[in-house]
Amino acid sequence: MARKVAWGTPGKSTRFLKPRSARTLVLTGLGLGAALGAFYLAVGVTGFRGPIAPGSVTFPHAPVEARCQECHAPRVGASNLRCQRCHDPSGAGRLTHSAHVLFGSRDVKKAAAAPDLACARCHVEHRGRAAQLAQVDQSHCLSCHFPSFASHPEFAVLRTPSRETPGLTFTHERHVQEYVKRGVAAGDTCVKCHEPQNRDLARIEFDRHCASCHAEQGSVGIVEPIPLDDALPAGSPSQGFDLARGQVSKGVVPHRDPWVRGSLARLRHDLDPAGYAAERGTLLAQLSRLRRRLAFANPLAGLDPEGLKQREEVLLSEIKGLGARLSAQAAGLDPQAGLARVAEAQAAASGPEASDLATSVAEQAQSKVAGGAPLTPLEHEARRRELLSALDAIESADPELVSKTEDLRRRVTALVPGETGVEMLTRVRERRETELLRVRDEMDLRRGGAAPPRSAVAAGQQRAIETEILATEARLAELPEAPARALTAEERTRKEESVEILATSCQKCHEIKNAALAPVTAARHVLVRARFVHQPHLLQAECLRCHKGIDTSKDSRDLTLPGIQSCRECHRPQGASQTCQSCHQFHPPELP
Amino acid sequence: MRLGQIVRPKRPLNLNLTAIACIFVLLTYFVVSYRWPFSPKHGAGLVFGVTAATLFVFEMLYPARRPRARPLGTAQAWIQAHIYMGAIAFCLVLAHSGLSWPHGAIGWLLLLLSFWTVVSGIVGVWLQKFIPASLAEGLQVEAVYERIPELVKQLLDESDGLVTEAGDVLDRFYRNEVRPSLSKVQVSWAFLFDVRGGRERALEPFRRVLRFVDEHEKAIVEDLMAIYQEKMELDAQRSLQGILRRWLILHVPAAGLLMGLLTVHIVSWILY
Repeated sequence: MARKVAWGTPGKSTRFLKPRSARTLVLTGLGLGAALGAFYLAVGVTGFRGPIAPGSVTFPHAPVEARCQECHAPRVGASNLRCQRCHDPSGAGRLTHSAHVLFGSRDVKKAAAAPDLACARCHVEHRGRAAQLAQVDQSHCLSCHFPSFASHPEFAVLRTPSRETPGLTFTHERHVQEYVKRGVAAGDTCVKCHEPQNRDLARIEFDRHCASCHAEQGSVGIVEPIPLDDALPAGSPSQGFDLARGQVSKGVVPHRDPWVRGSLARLRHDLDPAGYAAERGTLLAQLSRLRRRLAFANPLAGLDPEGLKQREEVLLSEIKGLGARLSAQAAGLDPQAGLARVAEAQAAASGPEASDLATSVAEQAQSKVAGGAPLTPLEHEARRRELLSALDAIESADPELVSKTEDLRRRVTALVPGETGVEMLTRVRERRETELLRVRDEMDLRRGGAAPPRSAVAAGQQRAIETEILATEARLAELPEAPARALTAEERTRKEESVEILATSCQKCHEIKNAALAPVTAARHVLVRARFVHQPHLLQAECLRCHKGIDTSKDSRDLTLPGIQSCRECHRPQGASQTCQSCHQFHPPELP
Repeated sequence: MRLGQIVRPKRPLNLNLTAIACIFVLLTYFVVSYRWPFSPKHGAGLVFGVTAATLFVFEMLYPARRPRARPLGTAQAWIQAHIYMGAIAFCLVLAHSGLSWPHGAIGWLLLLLSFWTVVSGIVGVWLQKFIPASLAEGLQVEAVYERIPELVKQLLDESDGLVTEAGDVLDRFYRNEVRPSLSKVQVSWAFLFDVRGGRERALEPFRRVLRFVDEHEKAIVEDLMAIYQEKMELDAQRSLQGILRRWLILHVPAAGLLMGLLTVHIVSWILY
């Protein structure tokens, strides 16, 4: 019978069979994993960190790609301090979240309370060389703000329309008509003054845009005779001066005539000493702040270890001083102690006037203790002016006190309505502490062998600060220091008349208040927190489509700005971009 | 064997729960990334990553746990958990990476190894469902993997004994065409597609030689055919059981590498 294939297992084995265990395979796998981990560890330790990086860094960061510590701090990750090391070398703090909140809200308290945000949360690196680090995911904005462009609120300038003047008395209608008379097409009149430049519109400048009509012979008018005492020393007749009978007049007055501006400043000093002192004090404080920033803008990278140590000591000393001031303020803020001192003053008051004043102060203090209401902005401004005038007087009386008054002036101008001195000092101390952290971080990096960053960005910031200092100094030069004196009613009337006469030519266009020319803000961008560029919009539509009725406007305060709805006509799905970054920037501009 | 039988889950409830978990993970990702800025290093992104890493560690402990499954459930329950948690872990990896391609070598390696480990695991599951059924349905012989070479040797001895009294024609045919095939186990991937594949073609020479032998030798040829068939079944057993055992080479080392890279990933995240 033929052999058949049998079902089932053929026969029994004569030897013991042990199935192969999977343990070897598992151990091999784990061994391979451990070897791979060790390899990565080894390449990490030896400094060859390409394989361990989660991706290539962008082109600008490529030179530091192999040096992780340039951006990363141990157990911190991508450190803000190390971003600021190159991107904010002067430590202006404009790249922080609180700077963003301050820029958006102008609310110092809100900004101080804003939580820290890591730069790397929005600017995600290691996404390849060509990645755009500045391009931020829209959802970062939406997490705090409104959810889409459709729910973008109306522009603040339209929500609460201010009738703030641009410092000029100006009618668009008149100017448009003048150009039309000269044969310019109505649609082209706008660009005669608002010239396209760098994708936007050029600033209006007197010499370029106004002088051809308003200063045809190089003069905007004349100055009728005014008393010699009310003006700066006159120049020669060839400069247009005419001296007669204790009076001076000027036949040729160019735009921004320094003699007229200086004389007006002098008259303002006499007529409005508080306003003058406040403006001068603000400028001095700003100058002091800018000089301090310039001194500190010498980037940490430019300091040797010894310099860093010195910087650390300076900051430690400042922080200690601020701590002491805070302690003193805290002690002085005890309402009961304050009231007791007021009661003492009341008891010691000799005359009825002094007694009334003390009583009034006591009542005010009591109401503050009871209600705890902060000063209104107007009250705040009045107090600020008083303090700045007082500091001016102190400085005039004793020039040796300049260093003290400078510091006090800085502190007075740093105060904002609604913020107490303690809050301000706390804010400043926090800032100094951040600066100290930067210094210590730089020292750590140096110890780790990191090279100082390039100073190109720092140089740019330094130039910006220097330019600002020069501008502030120029403005300050127009407000010379002089002792204020009380005026009789007669003197006041005469000086007011002199102001009128001096500013006659100016007032054809400029607004003047308390002998001070209002700052000119014509053709300024009114969307201060957005970046609007005219050129791409002018390619789509004529000026009058958005600025409806501007050609017949008779009031320089007219904005004729369309609302957000008009933006949505083009910025819509499948239309122009709707991203936040199209118009807004997170970080405030330089020197906010 | 029908496709439905192969893909049908052993425990449909587990598959459904896994599908729900994966959908939940992806939905969470979409909601979170729509509403808030998504980052693998923070918030939900970090939770996805940590959960995925925890699941992978759980998965890697499976070989150590399985033999000691009881009293904590049965071995079947553990393998089910191993399979489905692996799938969920991969889903979490996708969510952790923000459903975008990685940018660096380590990111790519992590994603590819996760993918490879999970896919090789799923292939293994399919093989474990398909091969035993295929062997049982398609073959008559059953053999322990380790014994197959011994059984093949027995068949060779048996066939050698059969042809001792054969004539020249049969002897030459046996020595040249049959014995080389019988002398060693011949593994082939082809058995994966058809467990009885190639049998008719392999028996054709036997049928051809029947015409040239006498009656007595015909019986020997028929026995040789039976032995050859049995040998082919043993080859199929060896091939398919080999695949069943060796697929782990695709799965386990990759999983080990994944663990190593995961450790590097976590350490670098903590440090940097």
